[in-house]
Amino acid sequence: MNQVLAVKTRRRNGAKRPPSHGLAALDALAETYSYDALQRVAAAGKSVIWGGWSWESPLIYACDTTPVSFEHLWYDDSRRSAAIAEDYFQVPGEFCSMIKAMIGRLHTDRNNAVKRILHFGSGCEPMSAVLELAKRDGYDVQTLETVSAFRPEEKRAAGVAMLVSELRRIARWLTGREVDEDRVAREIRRKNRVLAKVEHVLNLRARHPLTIPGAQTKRLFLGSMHGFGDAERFIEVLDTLAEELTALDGVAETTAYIPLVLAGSVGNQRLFEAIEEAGGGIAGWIYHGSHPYDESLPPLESLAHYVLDAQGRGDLGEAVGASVAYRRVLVEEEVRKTGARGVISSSIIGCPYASLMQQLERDHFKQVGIPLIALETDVHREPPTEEQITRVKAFIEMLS
Amino acid sequence: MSAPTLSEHQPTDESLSPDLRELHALIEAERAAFVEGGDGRKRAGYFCAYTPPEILDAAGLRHARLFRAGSPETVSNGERYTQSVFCDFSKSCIGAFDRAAGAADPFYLAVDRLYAFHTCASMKRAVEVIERFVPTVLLNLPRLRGEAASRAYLAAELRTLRDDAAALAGRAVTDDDVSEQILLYNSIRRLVRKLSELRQRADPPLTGLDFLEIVRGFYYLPPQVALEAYTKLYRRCAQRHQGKARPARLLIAGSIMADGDRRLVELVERQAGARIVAEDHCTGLRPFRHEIAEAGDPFVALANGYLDQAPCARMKPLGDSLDAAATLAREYEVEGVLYVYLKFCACYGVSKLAFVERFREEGVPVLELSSDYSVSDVGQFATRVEAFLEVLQDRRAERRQAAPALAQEYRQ
Repeated sequence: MNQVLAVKTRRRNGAKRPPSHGLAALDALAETYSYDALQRVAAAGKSVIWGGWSWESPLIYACDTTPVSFEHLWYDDSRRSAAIAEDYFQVPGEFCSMIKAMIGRLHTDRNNAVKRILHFGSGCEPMSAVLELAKRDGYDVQTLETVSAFRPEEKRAAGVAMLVSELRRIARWLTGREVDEDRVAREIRRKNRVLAKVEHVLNLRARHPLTIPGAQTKRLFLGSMHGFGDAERFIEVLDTLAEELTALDGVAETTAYIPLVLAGSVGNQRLFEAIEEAGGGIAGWIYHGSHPYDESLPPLESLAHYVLDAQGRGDLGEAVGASVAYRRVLVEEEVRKTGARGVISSSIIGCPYASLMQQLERDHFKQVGIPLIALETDVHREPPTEEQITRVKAFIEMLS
Repeated sequence: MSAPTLSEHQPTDESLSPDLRELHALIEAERAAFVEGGDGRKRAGYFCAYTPPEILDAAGLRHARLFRAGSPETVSNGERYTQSVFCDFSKSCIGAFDRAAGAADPFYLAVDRLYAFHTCASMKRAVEVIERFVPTVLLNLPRLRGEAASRAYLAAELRTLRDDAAALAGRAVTDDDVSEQILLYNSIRRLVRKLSELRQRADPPLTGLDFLEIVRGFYYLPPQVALEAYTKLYRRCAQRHQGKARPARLLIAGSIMADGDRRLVELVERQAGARIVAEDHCTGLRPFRHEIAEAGDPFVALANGYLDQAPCARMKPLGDSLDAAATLAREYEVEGVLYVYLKFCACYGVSKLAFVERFREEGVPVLELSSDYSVSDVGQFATRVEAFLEVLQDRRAERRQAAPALAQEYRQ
């Protein structure tokens, strides 16, 4: 099975995308972090876990463990997995395709080598609930205690202390011994290098938004968190991409586009193509942040502050229980920075978190006069529906 | 859309046993007084059964649990923010506070401060909207019942609650003040448990509707008033002679059953003639099955006591919630379980298979019902409940027939 999506090589006007060594290297790196590749790594005896790939990834790497993004669970066979969730686990139909695909795929692959799961209790409730069901298939599921920062800096000391204690517990779970904080500090420094380079690439890309397609841009965001299991190689990829994008400065863009900001996760990645085919270019994207970890703090505290800050900013999404009230600030900043003419707010059908945030953003951007369209997709890989394409086209047409 | 009044969607005198009418009158008077105010005391509200009223009383606040819901108008009010993918309870919580939308609840609007624990993610999200309408303090509720660090963390959150409640009330709250309330609330919980245990009789002197009214009393009445009312009620009910009726004994398990969401219980008891003898949900018996340690640091005691209570399905591990539900089914010798979850309730919707299987392991049949606050499903509920009760009747008859045969086999 190949989780690396086929990326369209032609643009809307039929022009071939220029060959990119950076993107080829990114795809090759993603192959090494594919579902099958990771299962092989685990079968060979390396410690691999589901989850732990987001804010906590420096700790996981410091425990000689590869964290795997849950996204892998719905890249393939998502329809079949969702059917298993509904039929076998009796998950009610109203819940989102993401959690159904997750639990279904975990069930199908219950005899595979990756049998440990790490999950953060502040995040998505349905995900927390389905992971309890995964225990029936022999998965060892650990929950990081629920610690939410409802407002920046509020009750910070107690929250940090709780998270530090939890991170120590998770390290013991992974390795059977106390955490090596020096190694965590090294991993934090490494991840900060990755984050800085991803931010640099995204800033360059904002000037040439059609150069790196949406699906591969999403890959960059995810890589900023988990580094594809090989942060040094990812850094090389980012350097190559930065060079290629820098070389484009001063070269006239041959395809006209309407600059847009995309907010949120895109389940059905074919939507990227629909946006581009309709004449849009995603110049900015609020998805996973690029804020650095504070290297001056003790490393476990640094991780704790990182996630609590992200929650308060509305960053890193429902996986960390980010606030629904503040993401619009990030989106508005991105609109200003990129000169975008409109915002596409994207979510997964049936996601309470995203639906509420979309509504708040709809109200807010209407007030400030920035056009916004809210889209919902599932995680399946069929092409977007005619209705979705028509809405995207109409929105972009309205902006042109 | 008409705004619901205080009396709408409430149990009426007619739906309650005569013994409960006095309690009902006290509750309604207190609810009206809460709205009127005028006593100079600040009013606090909370949603979740994990909120310790001991602390709010120690601060001298007038307080109430905000769990009145069931009106489609209020749900629709909340949908302005949530679209459709939240449960109707969380939508109602938003709708009841949104004065601008036209179906707000005066009881909710009377609240000076909302104390909201991060229970399920949907309620947390709802509260992020509600804090636009009312000053709100958000608090963390740990999930990991077995972890010492989680207990210490909850104790710290409860001290935050103490500090805010004290500031709101304008007075200091000492440990002794809290300890005193722990003693008082333990007495009340013991009485509520004893009242519930009367339902273990073959012909229970209390209906399920009666017990839900007792729970309303706990969440609306000042504790001293509740204690006196329950004491009198227990004396009366305990002395009542058992009749010959042997109604089918049912447990309701699952999502919150809001004050105002009485359709199913009325259908089961008043139309179908069965009896709800226990509830594994957070507005029934579940929050009363624990006691708080009366010695030592009161905040540690509260943290331990509340985390040790029969857990909501959002707590971990889920197995603890299943064990608590199964124990209740055994203790109350239930013949069947109505597993009722609100549409979009992740805690009880996604976990339903685990609960249903656990009850079946106990040999108890389960009827699973997915519910909301619309009125469109009443007919379907009636048909399904009646069919379920027929199955239970058949099982009872089979057992009766099997009993002499088994006795004879034993004698041989």
